[in-house]
Amino acid sequence: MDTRTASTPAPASSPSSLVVVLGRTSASGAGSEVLGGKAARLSELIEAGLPVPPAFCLTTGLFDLFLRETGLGAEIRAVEARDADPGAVRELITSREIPEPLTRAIVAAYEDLGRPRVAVRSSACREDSAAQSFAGQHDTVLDVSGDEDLLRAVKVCWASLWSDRAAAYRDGTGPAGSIAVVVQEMVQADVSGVLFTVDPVGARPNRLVVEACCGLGEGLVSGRVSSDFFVVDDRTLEVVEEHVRYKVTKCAPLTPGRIGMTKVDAADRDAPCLTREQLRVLAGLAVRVRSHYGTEQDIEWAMRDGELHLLQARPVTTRPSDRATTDGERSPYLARQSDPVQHGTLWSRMDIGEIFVGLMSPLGLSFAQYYQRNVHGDCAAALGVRDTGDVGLQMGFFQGHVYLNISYTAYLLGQCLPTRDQRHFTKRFVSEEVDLAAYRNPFGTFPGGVEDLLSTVHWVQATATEMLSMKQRAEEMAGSRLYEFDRARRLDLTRMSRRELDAELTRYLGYFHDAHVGYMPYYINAFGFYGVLTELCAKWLGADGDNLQNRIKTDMSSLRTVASAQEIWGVAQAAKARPRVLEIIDEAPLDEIEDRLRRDPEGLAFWNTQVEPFLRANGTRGRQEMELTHPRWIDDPSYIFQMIRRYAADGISVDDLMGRSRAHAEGDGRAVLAKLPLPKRKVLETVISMYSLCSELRETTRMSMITSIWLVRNVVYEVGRRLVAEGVLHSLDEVAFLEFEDVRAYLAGDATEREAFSRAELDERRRLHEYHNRLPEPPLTFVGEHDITQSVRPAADGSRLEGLGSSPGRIMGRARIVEDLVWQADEFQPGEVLVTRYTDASWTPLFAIAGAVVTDIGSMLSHSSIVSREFNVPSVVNTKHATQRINTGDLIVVDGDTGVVEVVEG
Amino acid sequence: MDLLSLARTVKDRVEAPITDALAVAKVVTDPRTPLLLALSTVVVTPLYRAAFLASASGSGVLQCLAVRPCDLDSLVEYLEVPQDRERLRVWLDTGVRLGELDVREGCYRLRSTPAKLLAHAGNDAVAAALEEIMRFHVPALLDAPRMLKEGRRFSLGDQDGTVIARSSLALQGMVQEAIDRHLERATPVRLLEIGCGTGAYVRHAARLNPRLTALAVDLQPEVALRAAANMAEWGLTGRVETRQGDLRTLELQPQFDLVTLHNNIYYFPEAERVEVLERARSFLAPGGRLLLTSSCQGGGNAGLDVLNLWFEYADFGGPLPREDELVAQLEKAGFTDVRAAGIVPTQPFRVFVATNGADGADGTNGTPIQA
Repeated sequence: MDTRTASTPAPASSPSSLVVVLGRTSASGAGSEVLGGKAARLSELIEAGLPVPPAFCLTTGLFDLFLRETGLGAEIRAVEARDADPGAVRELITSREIPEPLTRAIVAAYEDLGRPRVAVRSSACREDSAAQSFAGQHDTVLDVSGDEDLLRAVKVCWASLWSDRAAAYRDGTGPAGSIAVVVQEMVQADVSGVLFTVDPVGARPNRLVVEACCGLGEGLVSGRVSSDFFVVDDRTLEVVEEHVRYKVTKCAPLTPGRIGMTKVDAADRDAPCLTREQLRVLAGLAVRVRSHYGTEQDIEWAMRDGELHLLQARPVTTRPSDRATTDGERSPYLARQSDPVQHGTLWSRMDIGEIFVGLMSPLGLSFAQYYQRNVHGDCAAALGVRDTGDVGLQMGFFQGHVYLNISYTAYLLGQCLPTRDQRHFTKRFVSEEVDLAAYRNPFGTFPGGVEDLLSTVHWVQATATEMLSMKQRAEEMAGSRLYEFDRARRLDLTRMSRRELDAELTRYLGYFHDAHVGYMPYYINAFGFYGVLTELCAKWLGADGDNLQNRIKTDMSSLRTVASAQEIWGVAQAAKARPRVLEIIDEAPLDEIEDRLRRDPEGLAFWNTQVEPFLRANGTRGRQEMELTHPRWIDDPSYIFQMIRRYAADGISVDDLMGRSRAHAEGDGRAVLAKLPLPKRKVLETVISMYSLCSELRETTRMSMITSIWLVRNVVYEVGRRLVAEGVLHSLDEVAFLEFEDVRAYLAGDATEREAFSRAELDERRRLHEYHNRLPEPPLTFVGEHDITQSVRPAADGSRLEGLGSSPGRIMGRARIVEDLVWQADEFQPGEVLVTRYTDASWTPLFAIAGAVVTDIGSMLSHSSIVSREFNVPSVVNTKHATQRINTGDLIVVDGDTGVVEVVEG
Repeated sequence: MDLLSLARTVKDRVEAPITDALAVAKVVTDPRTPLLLALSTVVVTPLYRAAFLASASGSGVLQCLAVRPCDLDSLVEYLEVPQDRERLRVWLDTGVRLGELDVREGCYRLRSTPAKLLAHAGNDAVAAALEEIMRFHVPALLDAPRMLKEGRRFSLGDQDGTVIARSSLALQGMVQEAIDRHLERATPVRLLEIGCGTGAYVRHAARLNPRLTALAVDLQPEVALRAAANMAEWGLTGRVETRQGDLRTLELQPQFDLVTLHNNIYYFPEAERVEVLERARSFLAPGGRLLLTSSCQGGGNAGLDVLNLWFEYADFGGPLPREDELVAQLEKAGFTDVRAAGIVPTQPFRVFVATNGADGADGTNGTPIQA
C-alpha cells in the first residue's frame, strides 16, 4: 500500500487547506489516509465531545507538498534505491528549509491555536491499525514553543517516517508511505497515566485498569517511575482495588523544552494520584470512548489542575491471556508435581545471597533460570553435597519473584553433617506467615544406609579440604576479581565484533559460574559456625548468651559491606578537602557530576585518585544484583555522589558512622565469656573467630560474584544498544524484556537482530511484567501454593506495628520512607528512622547515619538485620505494612528488643 | 698432507667401505681424481640422496610407495604426468641407484631406512624440514654471493608457507611443553595466536583448557584458510576464530589473557621487533601474558645458522634472536617480569614469558589500588 500516491492532492491545493483543525474534519471528509491514525482518532474524540486538548494536523498532503516543492522526493527515492541507512534520509529532511508558503500555513494554524506550548507528534497512516501495536514507533517532541522550534519539531516528526524502529516494524521493505503531524496544546500534567478498558493480562470481566503516575506519562511508558494502580468496576464506576505506591520521581519539563526526571513534592509522595471522584470521571470517559468505537480501548490521559484530558485512544490489539486463574500461577514449580509436593513444599525468597529478593524483570528472571540450569547444581556440590539431585526442583518462580525450594534443599543438605537435622536449615526461613509445627517436608529425609554413609564421608572430605584451602582460595578469588575488573574496564565493547562479544559473554559466564561456586562454601560455613555459636551460647551461657551471637562483632572494618560505607566516607572527606570538587558534587545535577569532574583539572585528579580506586573496590555493587537491569555504582555513580553530599555535610564524623558504641558491644561480649571455664571459653572463642573469618571471606568472595554479574550485564547492554540501533528495541530500557537465552543464541549465531528477537514475545513479556508489578508482593515464605486473589490488603490505620526485633535498642525519631535509594539518599537526615520495604548491601552507607531501621519484609539474618547490628542501630523487620502505615515525618518509637514500632505523632 | 692420507682420513671418517684401496693408489697420478672421489663420497652423494628424498616426500611418492610397491604406470597416474612416463622412470631409477628405492619385477618399493621413516605419517614434520632445507637453505648457501652482486633478496613468495608450517612442527614437542608450562587451566582464557600456521598449537591449548577461546591469525591467506579448515575438522570452530591478518595492522581491543608467537619472531626485521612486541602487548589485558617461543642464535647448530643466513638475505624478517637481546626488547616494549628458559638442555630453543604489567601507555585507570 503506497499511500503517498493515493493521497497526493491536486497540485493546485493551497498549503493552508492541508493544515486542518482537529474536531472539524468529518465535514471536510478528511480521514485517516490524510490525517494519519492518531490525528483521525483525536479528531473523532473531539467531535464526540470528549475532553481532548485542542490540536491541528499537518496532513500527509502537506508532507507530500513539502517533498515536491523542495525536490526532496526524488533525492529520497535515489537514497532508498541505494538501500542506504535510513539516517541519511532523516538527515536530508531535517536539514532542508520548509518553503515559505508551507511555513506560513503552519504558523497561521499555530497562531489560531493561541501559540501555547505544544506537543508535536507524528501520525502515521499505518500506525494504530488494529492488527499491530505500533505504539511509540514514531517520534514525539514535547513542550515545544515558538515558530522556529515548532518547524524544527515538525521536520523531526516527518523524518521519523524513516526512523530505524519504524523501519523495523515495516520490516524494512516497501516504500515508507506518507506521514501526518499532530500539533496539540501541551498539558503540563500533574498526573498522567493509562487506562485499559479490559484487564490486559488478568482478563477479569468488568474491570477497568488504571495506572497513574506523577508528572508526564512518558515516565510511566519508559517504566522509570513508580505508579499507583486502581481497578474500577465499569458497571458501578466504583474503585474495587487500589494499590498506592510511594512515588519519588516524575517526568516533567526541567527547563522549557527539556524533559527529564525530577523529584515529586514530599507531600504528594504517599497520596493516591487520583481521588475516588476523579477515578469515577476518568472511568466514565473511558466507557464513553469504548462505546463510541465498540471495541476495548487503551487510553492515555493526563490531568492538570484537577481537569482530565484524553491524549490518545487505541484499540487494544492483543487478546488478554487468562493467566491469573491458571493452576501454574499459584505455585513456583515450573512443572506440576505430585499433590503432596505441590501443596507441601516450603518456599522462600529470603536472602538467596541477598541478590534476588524483589520483583525481577523478564531479563532478570531468564538470567536466574540460566543460573539455575548451569550454576546452581555445582553450587550445591561445592557445599560437599554428594548427590545434588534435580536442579529443576531447587528453585522456583512465582509472580516475577525467584524462590528457593527450602524443602528440597533441606532434603539434599541432609547429606551434610551440620544440616542432617533439617530444622537447622529450615528454621532460618521461617516467618510469621508459616506455621512450622504443621510443616512436614514432602521430600522426607535423605535415605539412610550406604548412600548416607557415602554422602557423609564425601562431606567430611570436602569440608576438610575447604577448611585447609579457604583462605588461599579467597585470596585467589579476590585477585582474579581485580584482574577481570581491570580487563573489562579497558574494553570498548562497542568496537567488538559479534563473534568477539560472544567470546566475552562465554568468558564472563564461565567466571560467573566459578565465582558463585567459589562463594558457596564461605556462605554455608559462616552459616554453620553461626549455628554452632547459637547453640553453644544457649547451652553454656543461658540467658546471658541469648543474644551474644548477635552482639559479637567481627572487626567492622574487615567486613566489606560495612567497609564500603567507610570507603565512601573516605572519598567524602577527600572531596571536603577540595572545595572546588565538593562544589561540583554539591551543585551539578546528578547525571552531570562525573562529566564535570573529569573536565575540571582538580576534579580529574580527584576522580583518578579517589573515585577510580573506590569504584575498583566497590563499583560493581548495586541493588538486587542478580537483576541485570539494575545499574551498578560504576554504571551510575549518582548514589555515590548523593552519599558524598550526605557524608560531607557538617556535623557528621567518622566516629558517628563507624564507631557507634562498638566498645559497649565488645565489652559486653568479653564480660560474658569471662564467666566460662577455660576449655569452654577456648572453644567458644575458636568458634567466634572461625565465624568471623568465614564472614570476612564471604564478603570478599561475594564481591567476585557481584563483579561477575556486572560483566555479564555489560555484554547484555551492548547487545541492547545494537538492538536499539537496529530498531528492534525502542529504547535501552526495553533490555528488561529480553530473554537471556535469546541474547546468547544471537551472539553465538548469525541470525539478524530481527530474526533473533521476536518483538511479539518481547511485548508479551512486557505485559506480563507490568501485570506482576501491579500485584501485591507475594510472601517471603510460604508453604505449597499462594493465591493472589486471597492475599490480604493492609488496613491503612492503626498506630502500632509488630514485627521481628532484629537489632536491639529502643529509639524515638522522625520516620523517612525511602522508596528510591538513588533519588532519596540526599534527603535522609542523620538520626532519622529509615522505613523501607527491604534493603540489600547497596543500602549499607545509609545505615551508618540512621537512627533506626524498619522494613516491611526481612528475617533475623537478612541484610538489614545484620548491618543494623553492625552499626548498633535498633531494627525491626518483617512489619509487613510499615511503608504504608507510616508517613515521612511521623514521630515513631522503634523497639528492637520487642519488635514493636509505634507511631507517636502522625 | 698428501692426497693418499687425505683419502685415508676420508675413509676413516665416513666409515663406508672403500672397496679397493689399491685402485685409489693407482689413480693418484691424476691429482684431481681422489679429490673428486672424496667429495662424491663425503659430500655429493648424501646431498643427492637428501634431495631425492625431499622431492620424493614432497611429491607424495614416498608415502605412496609406503602403502604398497607400485609399478611405473601407477606412479604416472598418481602424479598425473601421462606425457612424461620416461622422464619419471629416469628419476625413479636414479633413486634406485642412490639406494633409496628398490625395484623388483617392475615394481618400485622403499629401500633405505631414511626413506621408510620419512614416509611415515608421524614423521611428516621431519620430511617437511628436509624439504625446507633443500628448497630454502641450500639456495641460500649456494646463491649468497651472487645475490649480493645482483642485489637480489628472498621474499616471502620464495617460501612455501605450507612446507614451513609443516616443518615447524618439528619443534612441536618443545612448543607444546612451553604451552603446558604456562597455560592457565582453571579459568576461562582468551588466546591470541600470531602466526598460527596449521593451528596445531591452538588446538593443543584448547585441549588443555576446555574453556579457552581463541583468535588465530596468520599473515598468509592460504595458511589462514588451511588453519580454518583444520579448526572445522577438529570441531573447534565455535571456540576458535581464524583470520588472515598482520599483527602490525590488526585492530583489537585489549581482551586477551595470553598472546602467543611460536617460531616466527624472526619474520620481523630486528628493528621492528620492539614495535611488534608493543603491539602484541596492546592486545593484552592488564596482567595478561605473552608466550613467545623461538630458536635462538648461538647454539652451534648448523641448521639454525643457515636459517639465520636465509633471513639475512631476505627482504623481510631478520636474524634469529639472541636470548639476551630479545629479553631486552621485551622489556623495552613495556613488558615486566620477563623470563627466558630452555626446554631441552642442548637445544637452542627458548621460551620467553612476559607480563603486561601495571600500565604505562594508555594511562587511563592506572592508579594503584588498595586491595
